[in-house]
Amino acid sequence: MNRYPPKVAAALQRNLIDRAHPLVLSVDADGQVRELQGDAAHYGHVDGDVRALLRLVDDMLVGADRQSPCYWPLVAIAHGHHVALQWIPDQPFDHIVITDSDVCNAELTERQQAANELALSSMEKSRTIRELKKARIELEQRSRVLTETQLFQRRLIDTLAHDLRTPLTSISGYAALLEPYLKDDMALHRALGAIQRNAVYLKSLAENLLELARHGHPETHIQRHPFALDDLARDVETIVRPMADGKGLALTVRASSSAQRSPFYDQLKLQQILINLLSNAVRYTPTGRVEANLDWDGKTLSLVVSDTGIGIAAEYQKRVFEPLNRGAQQGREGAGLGLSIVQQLVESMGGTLHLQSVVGVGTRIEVRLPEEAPEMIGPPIVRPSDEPDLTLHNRRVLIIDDDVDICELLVWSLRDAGYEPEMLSDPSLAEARVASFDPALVVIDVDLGARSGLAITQELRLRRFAGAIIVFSGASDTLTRQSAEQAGANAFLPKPLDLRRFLSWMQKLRPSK
Amino acid sequence: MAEMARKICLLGDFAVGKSSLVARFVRNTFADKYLTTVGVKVDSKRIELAQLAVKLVVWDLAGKSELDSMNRSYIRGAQGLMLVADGTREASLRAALYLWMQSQKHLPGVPVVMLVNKLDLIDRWEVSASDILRLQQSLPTWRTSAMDGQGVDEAFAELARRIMEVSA
Repeated sequence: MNRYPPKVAAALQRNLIDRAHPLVLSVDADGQVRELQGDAAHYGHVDGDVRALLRLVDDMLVGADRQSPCYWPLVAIAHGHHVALQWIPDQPFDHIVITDSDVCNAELTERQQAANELALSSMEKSRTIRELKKARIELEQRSRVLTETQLFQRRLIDTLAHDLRTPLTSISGYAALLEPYLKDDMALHRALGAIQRNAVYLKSLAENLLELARHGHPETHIQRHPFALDDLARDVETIVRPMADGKGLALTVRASSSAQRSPFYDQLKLQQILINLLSNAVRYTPTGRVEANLDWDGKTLSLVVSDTGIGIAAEYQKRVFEPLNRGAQQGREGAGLGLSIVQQLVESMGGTLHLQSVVGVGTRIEVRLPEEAPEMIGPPIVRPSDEPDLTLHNRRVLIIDDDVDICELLVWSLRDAGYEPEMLSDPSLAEARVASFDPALVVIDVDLGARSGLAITQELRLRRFAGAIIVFSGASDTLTRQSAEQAGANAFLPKPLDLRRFLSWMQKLRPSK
Repeated sequence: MAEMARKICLLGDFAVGKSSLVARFVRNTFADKYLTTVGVKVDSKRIELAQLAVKLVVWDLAGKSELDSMNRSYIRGAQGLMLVADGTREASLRAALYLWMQSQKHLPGVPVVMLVNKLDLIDRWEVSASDILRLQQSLPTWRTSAMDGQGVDEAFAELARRIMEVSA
């Protein structure tokens, strides 16, 4: 065994004792302290009262062999100290030796705390990342479901709107046909007026639903082409007139132009904007007048609709443009779609919309639409004209439509106009009937169930049919128009068919013999 | 009524809530702040089991995922083991089972209970109900919360009962 020089041994002993603050308790068999050496106060036990330490050691000896020495290197005791504890069985007294571990323990505690906190933080981070990934997957799934639902809703609305158009053609057409037969019976005139007004309402509702279904859809695009402003004004007035007349309102639709050329816009969308604005004005105007002024200056198209109606309170003026908003104005409620569709269309055409209204005085809505230069949007779309210059070689007209109501309506109307119409509701017989009947004009629906009217049109052209073909359809988009032209149609008419306009056009056609 | 003292040790990974369980059991307190345990902290509490008063001397060992030499010296003489896992950390359950396996060499046949702690954070648990059911087939398992005290007294009492059954 090494022996230190006496002075070194004395210095070492002093240093170690100074650092370790040893406390030695010698206890008898009853657990009473018989001797105490060291600094009890260093461990928080003032006046040598070490009963708490004795209880702790007594507890720690539970389960241990008291006749064998025990050593516990790092034990937390009261007052935040850590100590090394030794149990040394001896005679006549056992000894408890306590030395201070705080000096070496402080750094260990700090390191362990930091390491554990770092590990916990890392676990939390991993958990958060896992949860975020899970949330992302869930969001993607929900997004897919939502997209599918939206797609379904859009298709549903689209189908409903298309299906509304066909019966509306019959309703409007037969109402127009009945008009001359009513003579002076005012009750019947009122009843017919109601049918016409409601047909107009349903038509605008169908168009708005279609627009709603298309909103935000990539297929929604503006289809510009040159058009006559007077025609637009006349068409709109014809459509809204029954509603205004039904309420005894004065309706004026004026068109003016200071430009040398025709405006270049999406005429169908302009018509929808005007019908919505005018229908709304008529609906909320109990007495007085409703006016629309269409002005084209070569750069901007201005549409101003004003009325002497109930007006819109300031606090409701923004709400009237919200979709499905009902009740912002008092009076008879519409579907709450009209003005929101107007705003949607105006925005999609890069225009602005300005509303002025005074409660009890009336409302004025001005829409300003800048024309996008034709060269900026590619070549103009070539399409079948709504009013082609045709010469018919006889008066025979074949109407092909699986909707018998529409067929009979057209037969009736054309016969009145001096033509010799025939109807065919079975599209499979189309080519054979054309060959046997030799019509100068074929009027055919696109959607014929088993066969497409466009396919029949193309087949007739391939068989060298030289007569005119007019295609009509509930889908009035430019794509369908272009398809009709490519198939060989001379004209395209949207549903619901405007019978007055159709007949007026037919009367202009002069058969060559 | 006679009183007997029994030594039990808490084993488990770090930060699973061993010290918090002891604080809840002995002093009925809870502190949110995490403070690591260094070495060992010894507490005691008297409980009554039927007609028997038992003093449980509870050794709260520093959290480790395996049994090192220091903890081996502390568990010597233990009469019961309390394994503690954190329900929000599935890995801590595996650590508790590994500690059990290691301790069996030194304390064969000693009664053991498993506490899956942090029941108050059940919405963040990684330990599933089926895991608990599987555990219960081999170990008395309690779901506990040191924060609100759920299951804590019951788990300590269960361990005490099992210890007394063994020593009877």
